[in-house]
Amino acid sequence: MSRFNSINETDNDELEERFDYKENQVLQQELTDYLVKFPDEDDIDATIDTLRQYVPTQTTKSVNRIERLITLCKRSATEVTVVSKTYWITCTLLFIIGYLITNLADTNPLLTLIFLAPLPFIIGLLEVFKGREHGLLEIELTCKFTTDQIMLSRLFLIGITNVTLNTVLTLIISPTTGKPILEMLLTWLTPFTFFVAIALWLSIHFKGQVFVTTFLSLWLVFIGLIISNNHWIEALLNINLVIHFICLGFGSLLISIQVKQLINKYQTYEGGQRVEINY
Amino acid sequence: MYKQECYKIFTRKSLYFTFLLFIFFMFITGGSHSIHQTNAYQSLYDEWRGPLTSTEIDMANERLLKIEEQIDREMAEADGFEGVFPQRIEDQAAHSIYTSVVQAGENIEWFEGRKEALHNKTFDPTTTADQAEDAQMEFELLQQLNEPIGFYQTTTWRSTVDFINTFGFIFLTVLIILGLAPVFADEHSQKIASLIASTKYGKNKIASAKILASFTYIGALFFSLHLVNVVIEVIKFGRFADGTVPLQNLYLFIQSPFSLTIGQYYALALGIQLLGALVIGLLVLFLSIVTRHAMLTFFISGAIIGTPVLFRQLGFDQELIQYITQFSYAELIRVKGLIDQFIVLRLFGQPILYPYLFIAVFLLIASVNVFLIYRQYRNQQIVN
Amino acid sequence: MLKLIIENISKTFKDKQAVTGFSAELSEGVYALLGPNGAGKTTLMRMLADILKPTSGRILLDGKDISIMGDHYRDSLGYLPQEFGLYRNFTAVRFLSYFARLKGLDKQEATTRVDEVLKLVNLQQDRKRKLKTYSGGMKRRLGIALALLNDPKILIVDEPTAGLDPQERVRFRNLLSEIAGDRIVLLSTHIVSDIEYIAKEVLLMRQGTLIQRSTSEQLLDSVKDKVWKCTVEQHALPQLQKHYKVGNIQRVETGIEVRIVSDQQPLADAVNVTPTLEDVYLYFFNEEVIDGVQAGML
Repeated sequence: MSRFNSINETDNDELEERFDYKENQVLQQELTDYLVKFPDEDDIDATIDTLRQYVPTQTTKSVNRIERLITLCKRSATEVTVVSKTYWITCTLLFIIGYLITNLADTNPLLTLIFLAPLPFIIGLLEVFKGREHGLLEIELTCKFTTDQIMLSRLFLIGITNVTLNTVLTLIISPTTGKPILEMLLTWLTPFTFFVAIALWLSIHFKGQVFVTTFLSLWLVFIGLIISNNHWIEALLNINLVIHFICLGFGSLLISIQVKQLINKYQTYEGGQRVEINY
Repeated sequence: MYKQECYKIFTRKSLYFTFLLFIFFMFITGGSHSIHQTNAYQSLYDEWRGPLTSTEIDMANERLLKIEEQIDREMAEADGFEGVFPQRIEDQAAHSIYTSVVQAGENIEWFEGRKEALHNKTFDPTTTADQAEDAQMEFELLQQLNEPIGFYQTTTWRSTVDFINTFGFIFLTVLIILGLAPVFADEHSQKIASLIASTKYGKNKIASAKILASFTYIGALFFSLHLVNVVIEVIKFGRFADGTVPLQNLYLFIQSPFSLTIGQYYALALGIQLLGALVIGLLVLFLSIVTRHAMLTFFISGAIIGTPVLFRQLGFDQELIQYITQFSYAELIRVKGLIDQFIVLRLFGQPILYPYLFIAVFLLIASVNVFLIYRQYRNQQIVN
Repeated sequence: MLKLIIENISKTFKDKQAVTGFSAELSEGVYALLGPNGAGKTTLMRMLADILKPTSGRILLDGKDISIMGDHYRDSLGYLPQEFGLYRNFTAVRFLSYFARLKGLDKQEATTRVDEVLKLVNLQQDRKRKLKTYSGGMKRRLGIALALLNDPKILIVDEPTAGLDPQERVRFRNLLSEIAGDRIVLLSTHIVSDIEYIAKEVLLMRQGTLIQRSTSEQLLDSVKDKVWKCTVEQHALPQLQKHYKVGNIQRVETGIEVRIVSDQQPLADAVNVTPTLEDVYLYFFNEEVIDGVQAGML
């Protein structure tokens, strides 16, 4: 062995000279039979600890907001295929139902819009938490895109879908109401933000079955309350624009708080796990 | 067992959350009548309160006319419509009281007219024997009422009684469905059903324990909801008064043929609503066993209870649909429809008052339901 | 003398015949149900646990049909399914007390019995903790405690040792043989070594039917001259696996040592070795070798 140590890389000729065929054969045999023992746990840990200092630190999140938004959009686009067909079908159905009700029934079309607006989002939330409900959380957390990223992109996707659908419906019915479009958009958008905030809160704290049923109950009762009270209908439909914007801002703030909570919660497994026990 | 089943239901936070939100809803709806709380109103009210004679009604009419003239005069002087007229509190109180008295007078007249029409109908040669019999029945019931209508200030009672057939029934139904849908279904989703079913009492006594726990939940819910409501009503409208006057003094029940005081009706209605809550609970429990899925149970029971309400709201009145709405879970838990009018149905040719038949039918449904729960639960097979 | 007779039972699901004409007579002792995935073990156990009804045939305990016995049958039954949940916000004590009442123990009995079984499965320290904090192995052990709660005469456990660490497995094995004395214990498992020493008889099941039933000695005997061991080169292995039932594979200095179960001598230098139950398993369940034995070895 000691002979080999002295060899200089450049002088191959010398190596050729000293080469012993027999010894080589013996050596080869020895190497073939050599058993590599599995290192024990402590050794592995020690190695990992030593290597840790060379691991590059996690790259910071994309520098500016616009870049982050673009990545979010891109990821949402890939989620389109993952979100189940039932969701898309339900959305379409709800849209058709909304269209029919606004056109056929003699209730105020804006009222119908207010009532129907949050539904696609609620059903969509089930998709957002699909992983959690099916016990995939642990696996998702270890993937390249972590749970909070997946959830955020899905949330973004269903939010966009929902708002788009509502806006289209608003545009369709706008000739019948004779109100400026901005006002009509605000009319449903403001209650919508509050509904979304409540729905998010519920969905973070309770498992799917419970939050959908609870939310639907609250939603139904809300509708019942509004319909049974003419003053409220009037108030809801004719809010001052300034108040509208204030409410909208407040609602949006509530939503962003909830989204932040959601992200914080699902960045670690312990956070997500706690949800599964709640009713 | 019973204790643990209760524990399972009562530790669910979402129920408390919903309950509190509902109470918040109750709080923000409906305003108070501030004029009723004033001294001027109270003293004049004490003067007029009670049964009304025709001279009294005429006098009220005269005074009302005077006040209305005064209002016109004040408005002309004020040169605009801003503010409250008449301006003096005393006049406002008087206006409110005389309006009510005149209204009561009209109601009395209407009531007498109704009795007379019924009386005539009994002897009218064009009515069939059945119709005559029904009219006779209604007439006799009305006779027993004597002269039920007078002038009473029943705002608090009206609102409290009204709660039963408005929010009360909606909140109760929703919370019952929310609370009980998972009772059997969750054993499956939590993969405990097979453990339970293989134990000694896992096929019969556990079902009883679950039913009892569910009833406990319904009872607790029912009493706390109504207790909270009573407190809210008092805060909003002041103390309860005149609960001992006939039910017909509440405008919504003016057509009711039954001889009950408002207080009696409230007690009766609470009893029937509790019964209705329990019957609905049984329905939900049964669906929970069959579907093995809490959300499905929620939707199916919601549809069963809600559809007749929807039919009624949309005004479908085909005969079959009328029967469906008449004999629906929602009618039972709303109670009001049973009492507020005279409906007689014929069973094998015999006339029978709708509420009696209704309660009988639902007691039958409930007992069949209990039987089905036990049967279905005993025979269930568990594969996952 | 306890006697459980399974009389020609079958169970058909919508699209699948899970158990077909299974008959067996069991008396006191530990019986092991061995078979590949999808052999119908779990369905059979569920029928014995009275949570599934046989499509045809019947099960008799001491001559009485269990579907007629109802409560009385389940009173003497302890069942632990392969997969089960727990109420996550219950403590161990609350959970077990709940089931103690379900199993018909009165309050006094329940308290003492819960203590006993918790001790038996070594969970006394964690008795007051909520079940959501339990690890997989602890949940298993709690399940075992649950099955033993009513001191059952018939104990049916489906894959009881899955998820237990080796030490706990040994403990459980000993526990089973300790309590087996005067009761019928039926357990299914993939882990052949679990049952090698404790099972009175082994029931081999395949595609819903009982294909062989004998003591483990007899089973070992039946493959006595059929287990071979030889060392081959790495490249010869695939060929070998194609033609023979190859069991354990181990790298040794001179090449690869393989264990082959075969009626004839597979290679000239193959030598006969003492069989284990794993070889028996291999012998009877050829096609399922991969998911059967290898899963068991892990």
